[in-house]
Amino acid sequence: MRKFTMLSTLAALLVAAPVFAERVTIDLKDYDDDLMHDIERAIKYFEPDISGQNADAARDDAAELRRGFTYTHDYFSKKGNTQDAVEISKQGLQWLDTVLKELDAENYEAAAEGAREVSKACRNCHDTYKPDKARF
Amino acid sequence: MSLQSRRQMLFRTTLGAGGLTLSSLMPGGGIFAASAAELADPLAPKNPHFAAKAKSVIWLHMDGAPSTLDLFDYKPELIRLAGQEVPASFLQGIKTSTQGGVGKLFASKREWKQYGESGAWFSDLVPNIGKHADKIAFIKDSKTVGATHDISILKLNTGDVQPGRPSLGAWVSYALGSANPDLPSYVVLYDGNREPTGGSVNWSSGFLPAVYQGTAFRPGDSPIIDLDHPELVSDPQQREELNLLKALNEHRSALRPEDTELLARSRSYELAYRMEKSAPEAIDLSKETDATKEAYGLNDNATKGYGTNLLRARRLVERGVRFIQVVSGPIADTGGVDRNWDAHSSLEKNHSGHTKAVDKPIGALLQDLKDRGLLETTLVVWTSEFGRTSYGQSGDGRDHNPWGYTQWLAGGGSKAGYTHGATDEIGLRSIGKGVDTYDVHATVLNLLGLDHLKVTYQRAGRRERPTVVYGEVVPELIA
Repeated sequence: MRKFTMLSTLAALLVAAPVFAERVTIDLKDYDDDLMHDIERAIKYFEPDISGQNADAARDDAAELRRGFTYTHDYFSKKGNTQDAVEISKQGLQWLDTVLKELDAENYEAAAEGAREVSKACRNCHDTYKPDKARF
Repeated sequence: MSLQSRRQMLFRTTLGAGGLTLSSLMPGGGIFAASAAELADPLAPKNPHFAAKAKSVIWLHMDGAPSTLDLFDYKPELIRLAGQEVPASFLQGIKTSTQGGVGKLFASKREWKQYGESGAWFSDLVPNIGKHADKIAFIKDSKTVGATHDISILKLNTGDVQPGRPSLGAWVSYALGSANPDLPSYVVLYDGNREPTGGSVNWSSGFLPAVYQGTAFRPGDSPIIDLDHPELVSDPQQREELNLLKALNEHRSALRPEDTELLARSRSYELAYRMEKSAPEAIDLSKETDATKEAYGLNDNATKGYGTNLLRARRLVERGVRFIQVVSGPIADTGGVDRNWDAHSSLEKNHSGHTKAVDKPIGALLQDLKDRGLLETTLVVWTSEFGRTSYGQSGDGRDHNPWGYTQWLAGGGSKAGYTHGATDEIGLRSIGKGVDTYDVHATVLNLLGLDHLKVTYQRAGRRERPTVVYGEVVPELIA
């Protein structure tokens, strides 16, 4: 029985490992700008890859975007008093799931519509949390 | 960047045709790149997605970013609070200048007046535009990203903050082709003694074939370098040379009918030949009446440069040019240095000079288009890369403001006498959702009968569109 429990625990950890792997330690003093640059590049590829019926590339974009939304979700959850940003991150993740389902079904138009919602999620968050400077 | 010459244009046109041929071999092939005829002539007219309200666009870019707070966006509260610190509530959620910080609220010495049945407010700097208030659809909640000129001008014209994407005019040429086989479908006009900020990247075809890029007409009587044939070659001689070249190319084409690039090259030679006649005629103002020239301000040095360009723009519209991008030129500032609208200091002198240069010609353009029955099908867009802040800078100037400023449309199926959105009480930030440059692009394309989501071009496995991955049509701006 004990052996079974250990094996079960090990199996559960292995299954959960990818999920934990996506999580990074959040440092509230140092927002990960490099990650956000990657995400901004990925979002500009996402819909064009889908519209171009380049499903593999779109899935790669989705993985990158998932990393970004997950980080944003964790960052703003830890920061507190920014529930709207947390919600936007969740919506972004949900739209990514929708897009991936449509991609699996080869419904490229529906997937592209979903990708546009992901873009909106990015912009909605930036409108409040990434204000543009008057000068650089 | 060097000025566009006929030879450069020929070369690029040929390259462009080749690029289009290649694109047709890629999956999807681009929504418009389908038939052999279109491949042979990438500027062949193409149908819009739905009935177009506008046939042509005159895109008036005010280079340097005017303070629309001092032209169109009347803010009594700003006047009342002038000289005080900006209330903190107005600064929440924005990052202000790192160079000199936020100055005190600044109001210029403007007089304001309502015009027309719409009752839109105009300052004393733009009385001639004010007379056309009922033709205008204001976008008073404009916003953008990036706030240096090069970056924001690029975004204004191409939709992205990095070079490489096609300008809006290039997308329009790609999507609709040319309505006049003897002229470029996309022309850029600028005045002053140097190219506009950012240069040709702002009328580039980006990843689209080069044939769709804007053709810059220089100020003066000879708009395209090397347009005239060489002195020692007579017109009949040149014609004979081209006939020989054409015969040889046709012979080769008959052997290899699949070589659309060669056919396109032959056509570009012929276009250049026809342009030797058509381009000078299109911009020759000698047949315009004295009254028209006076209306556009050609008899006054202050308005002559910009007025000439707007009169040329009207003539190009009459000749079926799809997209005319007019960039305002610099004028001498207090130190005698040429400067665009970028009034970080001496706003009064800067804007007085610039409005004197553009107000009368723009008023004349709107009236002239109306009188000739062209305003219904010609969309005039008054735009800039961003606006300027409510707070002052250097005592008597204003800093860059990407958060809230005014642009406007007139004609071409836009909603006349309408104001869309607003900025806050001091004119610093747009209220609500705001209208980004992507949304303006989507709306302009809609008025041209194009769905911005369906104007696509396949490159490197991706299907790109003019509004990148953003943009929404603003239906309220459409009549």
